[in-house]
Amino acid sequence: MELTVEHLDVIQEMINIGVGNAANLLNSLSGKHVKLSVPEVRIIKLGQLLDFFSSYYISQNLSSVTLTFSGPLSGSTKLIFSTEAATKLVVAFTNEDQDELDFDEIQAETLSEIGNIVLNSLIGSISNLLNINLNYSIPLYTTGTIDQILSSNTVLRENGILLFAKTHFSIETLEIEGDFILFIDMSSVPEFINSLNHFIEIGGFFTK
Amino acid sequence: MTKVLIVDDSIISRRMIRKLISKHNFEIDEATNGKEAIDKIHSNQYDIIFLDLLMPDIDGIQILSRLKSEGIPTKVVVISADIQETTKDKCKELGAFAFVNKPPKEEELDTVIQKLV
Repeated sequence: MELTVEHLDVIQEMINIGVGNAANLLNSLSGKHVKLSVPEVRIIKLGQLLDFFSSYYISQNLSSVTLTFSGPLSGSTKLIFSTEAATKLVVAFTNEDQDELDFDEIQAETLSEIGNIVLNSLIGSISNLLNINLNYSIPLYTTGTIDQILSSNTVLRENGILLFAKTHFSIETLEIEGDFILFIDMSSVPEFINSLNHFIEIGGFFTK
Repeated sequence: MTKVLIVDDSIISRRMIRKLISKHNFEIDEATNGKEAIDKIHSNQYDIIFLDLLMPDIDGIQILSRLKSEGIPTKVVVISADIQETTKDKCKELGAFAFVNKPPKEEELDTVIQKLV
């Protein structure tokens, strides 16, 4: 079974809804408007993914929170910021001075919690739309280059094929930019396609 | 007959909105992107536009701005996944008649349509 153009269209709309919910929470937490881009959805091999990310995040030190999920679908979702943007976000949220001795710890805890809330909302929206039950890991906070961040991801296996989606966002007036990233392990694709087909058959997004 | 334009880059969303409003006996047209929407709005007189916000190139906010600046009085119902209050406020400022969260509930859309027609 293969994903069709219609399946990819449905996936993109689900991600729009999931990211919309996550951005709404980020807005509530920050008190600022979050500007969203249209999600980019691709089927991609791990090697291509590393090439894509290496050119997208050029030599940047990044901060990331990852939520891994399993069940009828397995994959992970990430919130990625440059280290500078992550620091700005934590300062804005906590009013802590970044020169504090334990700021790194405060940053890790704050970003883990922000990631936990918004990423649960993102993946929870998708699982609700598909009417499937997913198990979530606890959030994992990581810093480093994109290679280091991706290598900590258990979903990314050598020679694996992934469904990959990226939505860029910016938090207005705070000048903080970041990305919501979603990976779905394509080894779970038959279950995924069944869920998508069922979703389309029952009338898609629109519920009474 | 009430003439309606559905603007959404998603095939499934256009299809589902069409299905949902078909019981209202509207004359329904579709646009798959912002540019097509603006072209159609300029060459037709629609009574209602169902408008998505998150679209590549020309997005829904830009379309609302164009409608306002050109004084086009068509009623716009925004149907969007971007459910932030700040987004809703912006749409309201730009003259949107109603804002419906994606995925919309049938009853909610019916209520908006009743107010419109």
